[in-house]
Amino acid sequence: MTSVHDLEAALGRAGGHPRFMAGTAGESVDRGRLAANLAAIDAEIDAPLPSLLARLLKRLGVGDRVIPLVTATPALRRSWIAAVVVALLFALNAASGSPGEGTGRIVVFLTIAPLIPLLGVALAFGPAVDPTHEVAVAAPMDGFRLFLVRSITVFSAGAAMLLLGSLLVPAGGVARIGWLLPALATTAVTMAVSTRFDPRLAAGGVGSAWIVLVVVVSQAADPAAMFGPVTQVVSVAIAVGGSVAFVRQRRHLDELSVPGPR
Amino acid sequence: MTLVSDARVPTGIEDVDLVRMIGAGDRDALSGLYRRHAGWLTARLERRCGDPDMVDTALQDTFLAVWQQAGGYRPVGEVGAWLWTIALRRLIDQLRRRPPPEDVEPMAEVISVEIPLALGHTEMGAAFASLQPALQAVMACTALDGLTNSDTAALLGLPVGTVKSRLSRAREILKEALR
Amino acid sequence: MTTPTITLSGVTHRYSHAPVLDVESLMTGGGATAILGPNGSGKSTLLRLLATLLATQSGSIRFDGLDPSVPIERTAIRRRLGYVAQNDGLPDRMRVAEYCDYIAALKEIGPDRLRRRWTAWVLDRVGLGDMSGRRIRTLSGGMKRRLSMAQALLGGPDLLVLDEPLASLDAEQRAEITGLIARTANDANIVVATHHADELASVCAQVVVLDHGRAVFSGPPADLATRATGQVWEATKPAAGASCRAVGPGRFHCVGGSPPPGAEPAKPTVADGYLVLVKHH
Repeated sequence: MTSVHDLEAALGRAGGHPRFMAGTAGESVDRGRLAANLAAIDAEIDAPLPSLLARLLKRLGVGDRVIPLVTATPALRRSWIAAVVVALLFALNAASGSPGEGTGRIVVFLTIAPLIPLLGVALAFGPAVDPTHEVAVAAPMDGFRLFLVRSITVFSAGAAMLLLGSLLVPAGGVARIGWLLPALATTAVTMAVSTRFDPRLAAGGVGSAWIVLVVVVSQAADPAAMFGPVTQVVSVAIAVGGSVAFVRQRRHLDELSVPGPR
Repeated sequence: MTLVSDARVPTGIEDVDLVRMIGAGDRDALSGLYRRHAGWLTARLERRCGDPDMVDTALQDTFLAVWQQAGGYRPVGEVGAWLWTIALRRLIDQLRRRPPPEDVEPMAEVISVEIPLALGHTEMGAAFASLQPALQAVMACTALDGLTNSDTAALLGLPVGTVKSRLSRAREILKEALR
Repeated sequence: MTTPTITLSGVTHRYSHAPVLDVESLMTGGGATAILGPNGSGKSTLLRLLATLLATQSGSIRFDGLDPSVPIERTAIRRRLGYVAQNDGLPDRMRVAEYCDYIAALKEIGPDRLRRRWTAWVLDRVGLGDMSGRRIRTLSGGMKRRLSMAQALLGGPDLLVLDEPLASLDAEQRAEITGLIARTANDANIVVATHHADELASVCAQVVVLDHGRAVFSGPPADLATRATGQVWEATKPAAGASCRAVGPGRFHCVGGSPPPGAEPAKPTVADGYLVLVKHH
């Protein structure tokens, strides 16, 4: 007399004897496949530990095909440090001043803050700053995708620090983050221009235009108005326009634009 | 059975000793253990999952885990059984992250190959054979592989509730058949 | 062995109206091809065209029938391409394995475990297996060049374009790279630009000589050597009007000019043939 319990127990005992189970089955697995898997195991054991940033990105759920593109971004540390410095200076400055004179200081910060991501983009892509540029262009990955990943990387690293810095100070209200949309707009335009020109040149031009604009508007009207609703709406429009232009000009990123033979 | 001979590890050495050597950081011992066990582990994993990439990754993960955990290995039962437990665990970890391809074929192989080996031409074998395939698969996962209901659900790509209800239905039918 | 063939026809290239390349027709395939030529002869432009880095201005290039001016086909070519740039292009701050992982990601190799396997394989292949954790800036010049070769081999390309892989290396390092090229020539069509004609000619099935943008010779290395027949001699001192190089203590190997008394005729090498050809043009 057997029971269901006996049957499950018999199955359980058999499950614990893997070699009996598999050995008698007489299968053979392709030797090449087994060798390849052993090579993979060896490579895993021998691989150096990924960098702190790579591990952090993996934790955050960034895809494993994107992580190397992010961590290889040139000048990532420099643009991040620049953001921290500007944010800290702003926080310290705002904390030390009296509430009445806060507006002027905020305007200076709001003007400088969008330049930080621009600086990042300028130093993150192109033959002048990236020694691997030529090899990267010859690789099947789109230049567009690489540039986009790197721009997002430097933009988020910079913006995160600036955001933290601007939220740390008590003064200014919502106006404290008035730099964010102008930063997006100037970055998008820089990226679009960078499809045809050296990103450093593009960032320099766009950054200068931005400063000139702020100065001119400040002469004519209340400086704080520069960061009011109108500017924010216009910024969004420019950001969208810049992104569209960037996408449309993407093919230029897949070729080398060397000025002459060497 | 793929048993690739390895000049660096004499055949006389027991699996347990190999694991001890791996625990001491011996890479040759790891290759030795791999050469002895990778073949059947692959074949058996393939009966549970139709995606060869997942099977390969699970196999690699298994030996990476062995490399890291061999130092704390307590010899209870066979090394092969220990390896199988790890391998199945790794396969299910992957299936939890990514659903399996719509394919129940692999479990059918478990039923046609492993179940007859376990039960033979006995009353139990006949009773098991009377179950419909979907119920056999659930039974094989829980009883043969000792999986929890939730692991079974991950392996078969079913909701846990379905696993539970199929399991109790299978037990009822078996009870009838074995009466 | 089936490696892709590259055919060029009527390819011309200009930089701001100055013509730098004008190649009537050229075909590579079935082994390595060495591109020889003086500085400014258009070698780098030709290599960059072959590496799909520059768009063809006129004429056509085909890689096994694929047209690099069509974006989809260009990507298909790039999937099969390995490229070593003239300046190595290595980021000093990165670690060896991290750099390979990055290039592998650019070559769309994934997931990460597969990239690590390729990395281990290529580093082993170029003899840098123990260097994976090292910062690139700490590598010697020879190691850097081998790393450059390693990245080109990621993904198992069947077309390798190497721009001056022997430049600024010592004789021993050159021999290492040459050996690596010889070993790879079975699996890939290699096009290599170089100034070291004799060293590379030994591993190449074909030699192309560029002069002022034109392909003035294209054929087996032995044929190029015969161009110097009767003009090569060895003597104890160099002579005016001849291109001479020291081949031993007090012994010079010369091409052209008028041999001094006591000079002995010598067997012409590929480099001799090249010198005669370029001087003649």
